[in-house]
Amino acid sequence: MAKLRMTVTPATGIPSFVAWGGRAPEPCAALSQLAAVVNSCEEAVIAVDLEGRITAWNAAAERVFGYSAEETLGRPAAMLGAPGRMDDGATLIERVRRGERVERFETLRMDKEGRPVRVAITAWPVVERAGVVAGACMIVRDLTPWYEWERTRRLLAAVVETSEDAIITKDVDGLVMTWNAAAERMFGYTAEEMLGRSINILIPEERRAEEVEIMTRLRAGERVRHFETVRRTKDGRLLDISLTISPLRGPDGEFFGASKIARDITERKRTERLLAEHREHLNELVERRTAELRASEHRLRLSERMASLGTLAAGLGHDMGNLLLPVRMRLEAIADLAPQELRADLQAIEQTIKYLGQLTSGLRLLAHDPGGAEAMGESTAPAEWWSEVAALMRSAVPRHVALTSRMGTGVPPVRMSKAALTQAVFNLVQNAGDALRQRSEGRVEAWAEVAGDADASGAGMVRIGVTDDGPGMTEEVRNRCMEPFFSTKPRGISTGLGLSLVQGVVQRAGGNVEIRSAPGEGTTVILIVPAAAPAPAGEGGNGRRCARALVSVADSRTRSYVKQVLSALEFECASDGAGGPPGASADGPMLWVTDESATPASVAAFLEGDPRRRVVVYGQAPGDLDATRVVTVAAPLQPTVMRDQLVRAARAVLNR
Amino acid sequence: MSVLPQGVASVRVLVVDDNADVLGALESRLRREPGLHLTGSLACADSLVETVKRLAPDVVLLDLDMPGREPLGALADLTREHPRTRVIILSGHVRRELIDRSVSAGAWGYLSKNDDFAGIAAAVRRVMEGEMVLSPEVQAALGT
Repeated sequence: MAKLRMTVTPATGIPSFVAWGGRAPEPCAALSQLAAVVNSCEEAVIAVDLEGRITAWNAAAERVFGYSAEETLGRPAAMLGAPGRMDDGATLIERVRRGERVERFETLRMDKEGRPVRVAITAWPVVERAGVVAGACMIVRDLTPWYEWERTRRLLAAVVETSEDAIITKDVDGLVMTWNAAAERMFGYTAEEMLGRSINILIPEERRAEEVEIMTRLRAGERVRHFETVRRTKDGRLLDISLTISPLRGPDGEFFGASKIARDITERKRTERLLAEHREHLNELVERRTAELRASEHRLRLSERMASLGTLAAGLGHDMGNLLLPVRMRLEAIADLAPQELRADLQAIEQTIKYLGQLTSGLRLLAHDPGGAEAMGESTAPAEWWSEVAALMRSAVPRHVALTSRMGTGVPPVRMSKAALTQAVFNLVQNAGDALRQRSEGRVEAWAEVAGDADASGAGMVRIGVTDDGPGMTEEVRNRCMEPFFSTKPRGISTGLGLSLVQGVVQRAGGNVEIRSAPGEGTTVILIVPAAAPAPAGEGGNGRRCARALVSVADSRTRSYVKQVLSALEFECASDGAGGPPGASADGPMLWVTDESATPASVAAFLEGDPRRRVVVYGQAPGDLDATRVVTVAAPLQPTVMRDQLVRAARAVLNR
Repeated sequence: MSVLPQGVASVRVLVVDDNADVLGALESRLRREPGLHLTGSLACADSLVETVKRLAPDVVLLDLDMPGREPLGALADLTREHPRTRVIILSGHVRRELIDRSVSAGAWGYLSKNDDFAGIAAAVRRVMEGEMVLSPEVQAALGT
């Protein structure tokens, strides 16, 4: 069998093989073909002799290192050595010389431009006759593209693994191909559990159709961005997620799957919901505030109207008074002298004047500030009050309407000023009258009765109502009639004093307004107001409980003023002109109004009798007194100061 | 306790009101009322202090709603300069604030024009006995 020898034509560097069998070598056509294959090989093929000189250099080697065959053949392979790795070539040749085949020996070489080239060398010995190694043949693989690819791959892998978003790839059948760490955290499944499994495991039953649609769009080359949906975790929780899905295509453009980036937006959704709730809450607040503002604006307008009505009523009351006084006085004078046959006529005139006088008083009550007197704890007995205001109320209904009253005798006084009660009920009677204006006849009744149980302070509630047999209200009107500005009356007829004003007055007194009405059944408006608390002290002559007071003030004007105020406060008053100490017995006076004639000793002796006792000193205080139970009111008489101090003392004494 | 001057049988009353009808009626009744004597009348409070000095009435019936000098200012001056003359307000306005201001200025009484003449005459007598008189309507308006 002929032996082979490869020779390289120095001019071209093209190797050729010759068969050699002791004779002169002859070119071998088949081997030359093989040499052409080697030369056109994609990998660099280099041969060196044992001295390390380059003996073969193909076209691929030229591409990798930039040197032509002419530049390398016959020169030492060390010319390709890179700094720091110069010995690698010698090491390799040494191993080959020993007959070893070296696989994938990775090292650095240097190209013609001085750039390092990372290579993997596979080398084997070239054996001459009798097993003598004549050199080494090497396939040198340029690792640069692989390194670049590997770097890119690692970079992408790192990006995917460290992403906060779940990144999943799946194939055309929806089977999971990759599953990153964030996907593990988000959905609870490990990569091992998911790889090769259908992505449907994450999709709630009712959303499976989504997946089909998404795949259709992906196949059409579309990308799905920020698709918000819901997915299920391994432990069954539902997550709000935002998906961005891109089609995966091979180098040939073939669709082979999809990559999904899923972002957990549960927190964002929660925040959005919270924000929406806050926004709603804010809107509610704004609406409420606006309504409050409207209501207070309305109250302001009402109070302006009340003020102008008050001015009108006050002016009318004054003028009526001026007109009536001379008529009444002259009539009184005539009555004494008039003959018997004129008495009936005179009495009729007197009745009319009395009625007009009541109307005048009623007008004055309308003119009062309804809130003014409440602070003083004023109370009003319904039956007595009605007799005062009946004439005024009569004037508020048309002539053909009968106004009656039913003020129960056992009804206690209410904790409301006379003016406030008058204004509230006047409005109700007026409304009732208006409701009956179009009818040929009608009936309005004002009534009062005891209602319900006692409240916390021990006093009960009183219901004061106005009932008419008019057309009644529809449900809508009934629901809205307390609203500001609401009126069923034509402009011009409506005084605008409305039920909302009545409600305001009654609520300030601690009460409430109730309406009962239906079409064809008339209307009843009821003021439910607290009864005045019963006085806790001793029993008075009029059946009310009251306390005793002693007024020993030398100044008769002040003394009589004090007595009148105390009587109104339900005190039974005794008085002596001198400042002598009052009796200290248990049933003695609880309040002593005195002046400078009192001594510290007499005051102390009085106070000792009962811890509730109080002393009011008019003028200069006589020495050091117990400031918690004795108050000094300076002279001359200031009625507001005196009254205020008397009310405070009365409250202390009566334990209110 | 009567402060009637010795030897004078009746209470001398001065009436102040801008309404001629009111004034006329009061004058007419006072002239006929035993124990009361009309000493004069004024249609405004402008010359009240001088008139009181000249006529020395025991009681003045004073309206509050009149043109000219503010009656409560005149009342305060009168209280200071002629404390023996006692003033009763006779007004168509019955409001707490007016009553308080009147008492502060030194009024001895406050009556409503709704009161009848018998009530007015009785008030004049009671004031002369040293009592402050607030008619029932006035007491109600005080809201104690």
